[in-house]
Parts: sequence; structure tokens; C-alpha cells
Amino acid sequence: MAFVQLKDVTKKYQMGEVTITAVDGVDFAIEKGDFAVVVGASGAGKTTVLNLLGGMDKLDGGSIEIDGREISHYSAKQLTEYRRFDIGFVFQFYNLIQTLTAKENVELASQISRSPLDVEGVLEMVGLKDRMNNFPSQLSGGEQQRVAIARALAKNPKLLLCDEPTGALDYQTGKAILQLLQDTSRERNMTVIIITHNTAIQAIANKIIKMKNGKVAEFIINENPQPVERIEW
Amino acid sequence: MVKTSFNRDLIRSIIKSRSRFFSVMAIIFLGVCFFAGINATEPDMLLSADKYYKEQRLSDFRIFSPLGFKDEDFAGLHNISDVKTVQKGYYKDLFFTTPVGTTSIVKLMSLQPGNSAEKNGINIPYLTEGRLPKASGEVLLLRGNGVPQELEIGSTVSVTLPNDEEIQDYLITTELTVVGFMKSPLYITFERGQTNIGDGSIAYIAYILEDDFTLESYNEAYVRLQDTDQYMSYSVQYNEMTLTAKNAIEALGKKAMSRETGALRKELEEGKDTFLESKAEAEEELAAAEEQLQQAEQAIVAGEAQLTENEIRHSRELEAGRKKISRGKEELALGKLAYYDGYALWLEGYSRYQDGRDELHEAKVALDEGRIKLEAGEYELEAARSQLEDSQNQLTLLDNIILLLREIEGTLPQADPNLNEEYQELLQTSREIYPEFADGLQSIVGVSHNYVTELRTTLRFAIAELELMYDHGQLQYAEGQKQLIAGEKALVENRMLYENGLLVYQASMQELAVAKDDIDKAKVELDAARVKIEENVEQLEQAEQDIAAAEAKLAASLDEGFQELQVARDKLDKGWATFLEEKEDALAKIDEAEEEITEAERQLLELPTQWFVSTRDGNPGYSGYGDDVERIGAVAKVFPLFFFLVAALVCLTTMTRMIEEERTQIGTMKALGYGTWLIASKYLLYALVASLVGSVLGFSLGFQLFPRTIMTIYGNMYAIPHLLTPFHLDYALISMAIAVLTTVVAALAATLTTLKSTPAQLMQPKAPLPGKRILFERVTFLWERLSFIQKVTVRNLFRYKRRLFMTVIGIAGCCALLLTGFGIRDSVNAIMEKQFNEIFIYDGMVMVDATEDEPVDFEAILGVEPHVTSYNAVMTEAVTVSTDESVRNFKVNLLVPEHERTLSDYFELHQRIGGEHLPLTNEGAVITEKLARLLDVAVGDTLEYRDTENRIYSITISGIAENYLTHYVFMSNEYFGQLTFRDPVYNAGVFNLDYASDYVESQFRQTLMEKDGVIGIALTRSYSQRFSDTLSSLDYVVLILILAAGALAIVVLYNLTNINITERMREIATIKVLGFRDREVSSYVYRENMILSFIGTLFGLLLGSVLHRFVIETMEVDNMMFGREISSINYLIAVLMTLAFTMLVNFFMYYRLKKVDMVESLKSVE
Repeated sequence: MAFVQLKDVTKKYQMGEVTITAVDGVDFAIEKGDFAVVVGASGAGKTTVLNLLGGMDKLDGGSIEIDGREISHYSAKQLTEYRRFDIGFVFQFYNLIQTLTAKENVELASQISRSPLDVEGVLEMVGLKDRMNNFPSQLSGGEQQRVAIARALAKNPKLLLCDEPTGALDYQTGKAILQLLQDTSRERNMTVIIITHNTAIQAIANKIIKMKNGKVAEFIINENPQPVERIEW
Repeated sequence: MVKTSFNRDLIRSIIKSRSRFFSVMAIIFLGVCFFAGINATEPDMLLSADKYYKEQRLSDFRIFSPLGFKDEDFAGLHNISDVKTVQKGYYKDLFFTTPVGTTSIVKLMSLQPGNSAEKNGINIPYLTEGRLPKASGEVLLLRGNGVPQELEIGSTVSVTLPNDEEIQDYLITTELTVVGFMKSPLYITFERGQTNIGDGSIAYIAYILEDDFTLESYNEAYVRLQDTDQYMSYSVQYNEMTLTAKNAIEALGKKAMSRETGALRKELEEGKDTFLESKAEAEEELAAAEEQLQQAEQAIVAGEAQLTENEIRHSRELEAGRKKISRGKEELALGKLAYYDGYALWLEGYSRYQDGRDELHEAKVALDEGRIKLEAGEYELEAARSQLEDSQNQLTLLDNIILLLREIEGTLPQADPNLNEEYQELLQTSREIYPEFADGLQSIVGVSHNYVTELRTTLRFAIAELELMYDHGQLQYAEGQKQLIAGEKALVENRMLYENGLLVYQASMQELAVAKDDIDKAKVELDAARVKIEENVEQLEQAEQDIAAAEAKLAASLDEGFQELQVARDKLDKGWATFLEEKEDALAKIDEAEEEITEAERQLLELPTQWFVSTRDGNPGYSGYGDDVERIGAVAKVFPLFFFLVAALVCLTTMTRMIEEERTQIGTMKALGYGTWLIASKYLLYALVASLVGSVLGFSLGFQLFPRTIMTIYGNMYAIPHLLTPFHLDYALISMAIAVLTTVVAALAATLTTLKSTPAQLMQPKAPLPGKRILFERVTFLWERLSFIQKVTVRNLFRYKRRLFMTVIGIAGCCALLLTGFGIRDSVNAIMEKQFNEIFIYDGMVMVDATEDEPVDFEAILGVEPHVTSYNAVMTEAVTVSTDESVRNFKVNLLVPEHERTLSDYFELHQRIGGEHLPLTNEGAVITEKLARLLDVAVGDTLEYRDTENRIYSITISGIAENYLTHYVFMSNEYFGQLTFRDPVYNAGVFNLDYASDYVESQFRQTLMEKDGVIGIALTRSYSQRFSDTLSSLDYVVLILILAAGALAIVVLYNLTNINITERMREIATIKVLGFRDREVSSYVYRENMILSFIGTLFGLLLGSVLHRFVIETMEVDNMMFGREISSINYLIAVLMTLAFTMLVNFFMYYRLKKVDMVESLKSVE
């Protein structure tokens, strides 16, 4: 059994009188330690997949299994616990708490985790040890995203979900963040799933899920993922 | 078309954010409703009253003349330029008895019907039922609590007067028929005034036609001025307008009264002077006589002193002599003692001498005996010697005889017959020498016998015998010899002894003679001493006699002196007695004079000097209503303003937030080329619509709701038939302006600030408020102790300062309102608790019909009642108190206890602060606190009071006592006497009950009522019960405040929490995504709320106690004082309720939080 297994996942949204099927029978599987990229244009349903994976939404059909556990029938409460202990989330807009310093933002996550990593250690890993006492507003976008990654990692999650992690960043910084994510995946055998519309990024993944119209258009196992510095967009 | 899409956008944004729109509208509505409504209450109440006063043509002045009005007085009144109408009136306080038998005290007044339309008449009755009296014997009753239930149109009442008055002096009829009921602007409260009959309080008012009165002169007059209709009642202008006329009327009154009383006053004063003179004269005479007597007394005292001095001196001399005598006596006694000692010694010596002499005498006798013995012995010895010699001689003779016998024998023949002769011869011879022999011889031999032989033999025999005899004699002789020698020797010895003894005797004799000499000498001395002693005794006796004589003389002379004194004293005593007798008479005369003087003074004092002119303010109903309205106005100025302020602040926050939320849209519009004003106008319109609609709804409801509710509540107290709630443009505009301005300006300011930025910046998400280190973090030791979440909370608190203030103000307001509400109830309850449990501790009061001449026996009424544990008679009178400065006067209960000492068993008078007990003294009166406050007087100041007979007295305040209900003046009966020259007439008895198990209130009441003289009973228990019922309407106020507080708390908290959640939607979504549980999420948000609520609550307690004080002081009615304290339990309740409101809001917001969509976290920052 794969570490992450989606089987015929369907999700529909009711918008007034119109029902939109955001995700329509998605199947894919990701192994532990994989660095996966879900790629697709806007409206392809990738964010819905992310929401479902992240336990932020309930699916209307199919099943999702994470590390052997079926989450598709989880209650809201169970989903909270699932997010709390199993998922690390990196947002496009970092979503740092403005009133907290970098370190405190990381602590916010580590405090609710069962087996948190050392906060300062994680910050050192993301290269922000020197700036850990700064507030988000005092940090650049890349630095903020590093803090966000550190926050996700500090919980010691089973799965790291990243929603357009480079979306709000410039090219160089974006690459640096991708590098960090790739390094993390490799060094810590962390399962990382990146959601992006940026097809250039798929080259660095070893599993590529291309989505179109709510369906998996293509599932590619990339035997030779490219190093981050080699990709361009 | 731009307009159309613009309008569409506006409408859509309203619809989209309808909860926000309605919340702004609602809070504006609440604020305006409260503000406009309560503010409108004051003018509405005034307008309603004013309409009533104007329509019924309420008089501006009521003038009362103690001596009645003369025609010239009315002429004078008419001549005052401002005066328009003068209404003459009769009135008389008397008793009405209904057909059922209820007797009440009624003020019967003359009716002069007027017509408001025709603008004539004064105090026109407001008919509620029936019609006005048209004929004699018809009566119109003023509706009120005191009117007996059974009276209705057509009922007849019979009129009675107090005992000493005749009905025909006042009325033409004793039977009256009720024809209608009315209200009068003169009596808008339940108060009907006081009187001097019955229990002193008027039960109701009745009007009859003027012609039904038979009084000689009008005793009251009502005056209405020219310009009265032009001014609002209660307005400052109105009061100013009446001032001139008042002064003119008072001046007229003084003139009229001095005209009326001048002659009497003069007479009284002259009488008083005469009595003063005669009193002075009598006093002078008395003093002179007394002085004379005192002089005589002094002389006596002097003489007595002299005598006493003499006595002392002489006594002292006598004492000296006596002492000397006693000393002589002592010495004499000593001498005597010495003499007796000497005599004893002498006697001893003498007896010794006598003993010695006796002994010597005995010795002499012994010696003489001895000598005699000696002589006898010598003689014996002599005799013995001679005997011895005799014996020797005999012996020799014997010897010779023998020899001769032998020779005879030898010579004797052998028988010799011749021998007879011889024999004879022999016999003869033998007889001569030895007769016995011869006898023997003869006996033997007979006269002759053989003689020779026989003679031989006899011879032989005789010889042998003689020889034997001789031998024996010889022996005897030797023995005698020996004895003689021994005797001689003994004799010699004895002679020596005798001679020695004689010597001793002679020596002793000599000694004795010497001793005898001494003794004799001593005896001579003793005799001399004895003679001297006897002489001394004689001398002493003489001296004693002398002293006794002197003493006797002294005593005699003293006696004489004292007797003389006694005579003088007797005379003096007689003088005093006479004096005292005369003095009594004189004093009686003086007393009489004094009484006359006092009487004159009293009459002078009681002589009215002025008319009693009372303005409308002097009418308790009128002024009470005005005060109450003013109080509502005062409350209106603070409460709603406060409420409104919070509402405005909430709107401001909400609008600012809205604009911030639509930042991107504003940027887009700007980028699309819309002008600043056009863009801003959307928000301005939004704010305008919300605030306008809210305001209009608010004041529309407020103008009706609050005045109507409050007037209805006050309608229980004030009988004003009108209830005007006109539209108040001013309050409408003001409240709307404030509401609209705050909201619109807030919107404008926020829009303009936002619009200053370039469209590009606006399209960018607004940089969130940067996190900052706060000052508190510097306090490292505390900061580090905070948990992580607590740190976040503290930072957030300081991050959103506006919200902090808003919340604190809102919650503080809520808590303050609650505290005020509960505090008002505490303050009102304090009246009950303190008044009836701590101050008026008596259980009941019985009113009796007592007069000066007929005092009531309280023992018979109260003393004999088994349930009455103690009682004290009091005089109570309803008086009117004022000061020189005060315009207003107050109805006050004057209370004079019979026994001041036990007053505290019934009325515990003490200061509110410090609790110091206030005894009644002769220095002044104790008045109650509220009265002191109303008149602005302190201890030592003076007050004036007017009693029911319209006499005016001036009292000094000696103490101010805690009291909550109505006003009291307490004075000691002595002070009352000093003040009024009268004795108090005890017309009530206060008493305490045992409340034993067999005590039944109704029975007790009935027993008392049935007793002679009892006209009323007030039991504290039922009174306090009734009072607490009337106060319960204040519970509505508390309820209103609690509801207002709750509304405020909920609106503020809801809005702020809402904003808080909206503003932090992303943050909340993020932490949800991070896996925070629902409870953690809500506590993450609520923690701030709770802390702010807590801070707000603390401020609220402070604010609340200030507000409470303000409200209490403004709400207080004149004849009540509210408690000043809020109980600690209510502080607690206010806090708990505030927190409960907070929790309630939090509870509702919990679902809101739960619904926050995590997908929000994924959205880009707009």
C-alpha cells in the first residue's frame, strides 16, 4: 500500500443552482519520502485535492488513505487531529501570525505537536537562526516562507503539503525555497506534495501528477528528478 | 449608467454585508432611541404639565391672610401692575362624614368656576365626572386616595366642625350633595396639606359655591399675572417674571397686617411694659428687705463670733489653771506617795524596834529568870552544902554515936541491972541525939526489960544499923558533894552565861535606844511632811474652788451672751419668716407679672406680621413635579449620552473595518478612474443610509416610548391628565446629527486615508499591522512566565488599541449600568432597612385628640395595653420650614417628646457618618439630614418654621440626624417652651410592642381605636410594608438599566468580536489548518475578550459607583433620602452579570468561529 493513496476521489461544490465538480475521480499514489508535484492550470482541481489531502474538506466520493489510515470518513474532530499530528502545511502567502516572531510562529505549531522537533534546530535548518526573533513584517517573502516551512516541519508531520510555495516569491527566492523543500525531503525522508500551476517545477519531483478539469491527466514517475538549480521559468 | 452600476454596487454591498449594515443601524437606533427618548422626556413632561396649568389657569400665587382680607386688600392687589386676575376665596378645614359613617378631615374651599376658553377664572376644576356645583348644598370633590370609596355622585355628606366651633359661623348648611369629581392643578400629588384639626393631615379637598360660606372675610386669595401665559411653567423666565409681583404682594401684606394688628400690638406692648415695671418694683423691694435681714443676720453672726471667741479665750485660761491644779495634784499625789512610802518605812522600822524591844524585854525576863534561877541555884547549893554539912555533921555525929554506942556497949555490963537508970539516961541521951533511936530503943526495949542484953543486942543492932546508915550517908554525902560541885560548876557557868546575856542585853539595849532615836527622828520628819502635804491639799482645794468659781462665772456670762444672741436670732428668724411670707407673695406677683409678660410676648410673637404668599414653588405638587422632571433631565444628560458615545464608537470601528476590507475594491475603482469623492461617496452613502435609517427609527420610537413609559410611571404620583409627546426637532436633529456625523465622518476619514494611497498600493494586500515588541516584554521576569498563548494574547491586546479601548469602554459601561441599577435598589432599600430598623425603631404611633386644656391620659390608652412594652408621649405637628435664603419651604414633622431620656427607644437619632448619638438639648433642635441638605444648613445655623396656626418661630440647629423618609425636627420640651412660650400638647404616643404570639394586629388596632381620644394609629410594620410597595416601581428603573446594560454589552461585544474575527479570519483559518482544536481556536480569540472584559469590569465598578452616586443624588425626591452605599454583593453581581453577558456573546460567536472556513487561509490577501 502506498503511503498516500487516492482512489476515485470526487468533490463537488454547490454554487447556487449550479453544481461544480471540482475533482472528478482522482486516483494516485505516493510513496513515503516522495517529492511529488501536483500541477495544473487554474481550475484544474489541484487546490481541491490539496484541501482534501490536508483534511480541510470532506470528499464526496472515493477514498483517501494516508499511512494506511482512511481519512475520507473522518469527522470534523478527527480531521482536526489529523491536521494537528500528520500534516505540515505551507501556504502560498505564508500565513504567518503577524504578532509573533519567527521563532514564536514555529513554536505555535510545535506546541500542539506530539513529537515536535527542536524549534531552533528547525530554524537553523531553514537558515533563519539569526533572524528567529524578528517579526514577519521584518522578514522578506522568502524568509517568511522559510519560517512557514519551519513551522510546518517543526510539527514533525507525516506529510508536508505546500500550496504554491513559490507563488508569492520572486524567481531566485522561489528556487531557494524549492531547494529547501527538496533537501528536506531527501535528508529527512519527508513526503512532500507541492501544488503548483508552475509546470517548470515538476522537473524536480519524482512523482508528477498533472491535473486537468478535475481529473488526473497524467501521472509521471520521474526516475531522474532534476536538481533545483537546473530548472528555470 | 455609471450611476446605475454605482448604485447597484452600493445596494449589493449593503445586502452582502447586511449583518454589518444592520448592526450599524441597530446600534445607531439604540443610541438615538435612548438619547432622544430620554431627552425628550423632560420637555414632554413639562409640556404636558404646562398645558394642564395653562388650561386650568393655575394661579401664580396663593395668598393667605391670618386675619382675613379686607376690600382694600383686594383693591391693593388689583393695583399691582402685573396682576391680572385675583380670586377671592374662603376655605375651612372641617370634617365630612359619609352616609356609611366614615369621617375624614376635609379642606372645604369656595368654588369660582371660570372658563379656560374665556380666559377667566383661576384654578379651574378639571372635571372628571359629574358637573360643577350650581346650587347651594352641592359639593365637588377633588379625586384622590383620601376620598372614601363609597362617595359617588349623589352621595350626601354631613359636615361637622371641631368641638368649640359653630357651623353657622362658617357655612349655611350641614348637608352637602356630591355632584361631581375633579382634578386640580393645585393638587397634582397625593399630598393634600396639613391642618390643625384631627390628626393634622387633610384627607381630601371639596369645593362648594362661595355663597355657601358665611365667613365674614375672605381668608385666601389666588392671583394670576398678566404674562403668565407667555412663559413656560417651570422656566427660569417664568420664575423671574413672578419675582416683582411677589415682592409687591408681600409688601402689601406687611402693610395690611401692620394696619390690622397695629393697635393690638401697641396695647400688648404697653401692657407688657406695665407688667415689666411692676415686676421690677416688686423685685427691688424684695431685694431691699432681704438686704436688711441679711445685715441683721451678719450682726448676729459677728456677736456670735465674739462670744465664741471670748468663750474660747476664757476656756483656754481656765484650762491653763485646771492644768496647773492637776499638775499640783499630781505632785501632791507624788508627795503623798512619798510620804506613805516614808511612813511605811518608818512603821517598818518602828515595828522592828518594837520587836527588838520585845525581844530584849523577853531576854531581860529570861535573864531575870536566869538570875533568879541562879540565885535559887545558889541557895539550893547553899542548902545542899549546908545539908551536906548537916549530913556530915550527922555523919560525924552518927559516927560519934556509934562510937559512943560502942563505948556504951563496951562499957555495958553483961547484964547490968542498974542500967535502967543508965538506960534512961541513955534514952535520954539518945533522945537528945537521936530521938528515933531513942524511940526505937524505947519501942524495943520497952521501958525496962532485960535491958542490958536486950540493950546490947539492940545496941549492937542499932550500931550496925547506924553504921549502915552512916555508910549510906557517907555515900550520899559523896554523891551530894559531887552534885554540889557539879552544881557549883553549872552555877558558875550559868552565872557567866547570865552575865554574858546581861552584857548582850545591855548592848542591845543601847542599840535599841539609838534606833529608837532614829525612828523618832524619822517620825518627826514624817510628821513634818505630813503637815506639809496637808497644807498642799488645802491649797489645791482652794485653787480648785477658785477655778470652779471662775468657770461658773464664765458660763454665766456666756449664757447671758448667748441668750442675748438667741433673742436677736429669734427676732431675725421672725424677720425672715415674715420676709419669706412676703417674698412668696411678691414672687407670686412677679410670676404673675412674668406670665403676663410672657403671654404678652407670646401674643406679640404670634401676632401675624405678614401675608403668607406662596408661589407655585410653594405648592409641593408643582415643585415636586418640577424637581422630578429636572432629575430625569439630569439623568438624560448622562446616561444616553454615554450610551450614544459607545454606539458612535462602535459605528466608527465598524465603518473603518469595512473600508479596510474593501481596500482592493477601492484600489480597483481608483485604478479604473473613479474620482476620490465618487469612491468615497459609496461608503459615505452606506454610512449615511445606515445612520439615517437608524436615527429616524430611533427617535421615532424613542420620542414615544420613553416619555410615555416614564410619564405613565410618574402618573401614579402626579395627576396630570395630559400626556404630550410631540416631535422634538431639536433632539431629533441633534441625535441624528451626532449619529450621522460619527458614522459618516468615520467612513469618510477611513476612505480618505485609504484613497491617499495609489491604486497600485491598494491592489496590493495591505501590509498587516506589523507585530511589535511591547513594553511589557521588557519586564522579562514576568514575560517569561507567560505561556506562549498568553504572550500572543498580550501582544494582540496592545496591537489593536482601538479595539482595546472600545471593549473596555463598552464593558465598563455595561458594568457601570448594572452596578448603578443594583445600587439604586440598594439605596432605596436602605430607606426601608435603615429607616425602620435603625432610626425609627418604634413599633407604632397612636394619634390622639388632645388640647391644651384637655390632655390625654396615655397610660389609659397605651400603658394598660398588654402588648405595649413601653411608650412615650410626643407632640407632633406638621410645620413648614424655611430659611431666610431659601425660596422653597418644606413640610416637616415637628416632634417634641415628653421624656427626652427615653426618646432613643423610639427614635434613634444619630449622625450618618460616624454614628454619633444626638441627644436633645436646650440649645437647639435636631433636624434630619435631607432637610439640612435641601436648605443648605449646618449645625449652628438657624431655621424658621411656621406651625399650623401660622405662627413663625426661629430655631437653632443642634444636630443633623441620619434619616431617609420625610423630614423631622426634634426638640426637647424645654427648648420648645423657650421658643414658643407654650407647653407642648402631647397629641401622639409612640410605643413598642412585644409581638407576643397572641398579638393580632387588627385586634390591637381596634382596641386602641375604641379608646377615648384616639383618632389614628400608625403601625410601623404595615407602614413600612405599604411604603415598600410604593417603592417597588423603582424596580422598573433597575430592570431598564439592566436591560440597557445587557444591550450595551451585547452590542459592543458582538460588534467587536465580529470585527475581531473578520479581521483575523486568515489567522484563525491558518491556526485551524495547523490543527488547533475548536476549543483552542476560540480560546485563542476569546482570551483577549475575557481580559478586556475584566479590565472593563474593573473600570465599570469605578464608573458605576460614581454614576450611582450621581443618579441617586439627582433622582432623590425631596422628602426622601436614598442610601449612599452599594452592598458588596451587588458589586459581585454586577461583575458576574457583566461577565455573563460577555460569555453570552462569546457563546454565540463560538459558532461563528467554528464556521470560519479553512480555505480562507489559502486565499490571497485581498
